[in-house]
Amino acid sequence: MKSRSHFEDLSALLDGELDHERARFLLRRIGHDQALADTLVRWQQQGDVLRGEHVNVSPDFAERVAARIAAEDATAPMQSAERQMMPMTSAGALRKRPWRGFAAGALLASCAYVVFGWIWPQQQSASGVTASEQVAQHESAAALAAPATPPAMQLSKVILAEAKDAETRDAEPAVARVAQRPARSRIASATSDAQAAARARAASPLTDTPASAQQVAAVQENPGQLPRLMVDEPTSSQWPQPRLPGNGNPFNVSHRPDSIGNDPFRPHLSVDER
Amino acid sequence: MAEPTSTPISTTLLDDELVKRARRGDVRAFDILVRRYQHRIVALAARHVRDWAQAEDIAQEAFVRAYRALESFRGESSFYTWLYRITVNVAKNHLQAQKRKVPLADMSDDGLEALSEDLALQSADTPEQALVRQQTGEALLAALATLPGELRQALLLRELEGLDYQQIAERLNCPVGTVRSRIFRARENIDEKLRPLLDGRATTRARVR
Repeated sequence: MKSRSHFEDLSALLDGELDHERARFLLRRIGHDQALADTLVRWQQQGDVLRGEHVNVSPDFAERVAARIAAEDATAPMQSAERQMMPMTSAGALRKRPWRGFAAGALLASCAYVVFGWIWPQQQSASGVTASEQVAQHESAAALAAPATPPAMQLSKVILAEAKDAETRDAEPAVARVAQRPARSRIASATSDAQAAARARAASPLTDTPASAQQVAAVQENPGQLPRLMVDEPTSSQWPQPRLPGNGNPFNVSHRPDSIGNDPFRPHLSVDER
Repeated sequence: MAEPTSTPISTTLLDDELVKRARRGDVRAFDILVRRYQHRIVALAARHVRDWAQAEDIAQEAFVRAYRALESFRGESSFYTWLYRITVNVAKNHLQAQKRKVPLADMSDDGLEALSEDLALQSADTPEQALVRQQTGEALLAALATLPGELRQALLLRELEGLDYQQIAERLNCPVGTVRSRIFRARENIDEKLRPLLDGRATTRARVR
């Protein structure tokens, strides 16, 4: 049985007349006491009616909002997992958590995947860019996920799995359309140089995940099929080397393990551009 | 009931506290925020679209976006002001998507807190909603009429005049603790009479749908 004083405190809370300590106690209690929460809302509505501000909202409006948020969380498991991992001690800590940066990285990688994997290759195709250059561009998108953490990798793998499913389920019309996109076809016909580079990445210890191990096996069995899989995988390989048209372009930079301070993330001009 | 011994928490701080909890993943805290402001936000949306279903859709979208953006809420304005702006943006996007003219008067950020002054809500009401609104208002007036005078006075000074407890105590020449108790009892009494109507409204809506 709830104390009547809790409801009197609730009334004062609504009016901004409850001291901080008791307000915090009551808010904690509201968090798991539906009757208090409902009463707070009804009293709020009383005031709205008195002031002529009340409108008739569907009784299940708040439930629908909550259901939609829950549904979106379910479709974005990475975000949901991130929220659940947040400590209950400090709101500011949420902003400081490194997971946020990693999650942003994962989102960036997925965006880059779309841009470099689908849109740009289509545009570049029209302007005469070769298949190997497209693969190089695609690599840059995949490598953006290099510093990704497990949650970020989860998201990337979800994207990857969807792409793979689209390739394997050719019988399904919608998926077949995805598999028949021009960019895929161009990437599949990448030059042998690009295939070799992708093969090297697959063998790298940094990419020794179950997914990459499967790819290595797939390469050994059927090397000709390699590029279609490898270019999709966000690997932990070296920093991407986006190449703009023209070898003399000063914006073409590369990143190598032998960079200054042995930092693979420090940019420097590639050899052929020095 | 003992008098408050420390600084009272303001209504803004109440929202801030709820926001903090929602950021930490407390779904109930955000649910309370939704319930606190759903009527105002739907009313705001209804100023842009003269269709109640669309207004609720816009309001729902605004709440979802607010939830997603909670971490970007810096507390520089009140939560309601922030939510108001999100709602206006969602409504603008909705109208632009429909290639409809955006009411210029609604695009200003001035007077965000004085929403009630120029609401033209009745025009967006369906006949059923107008009836429910009328019934709710009448029930509230009837409940007020049955209240003892001192309870009614205290509640109206708070809800309509916007006075704080200290000002009400001075006006009624009684202790602040008494004001606090009277307002609580007034709300409790009215709630008993309005609850059946609100429950009945839900049933009616379900039947009409």
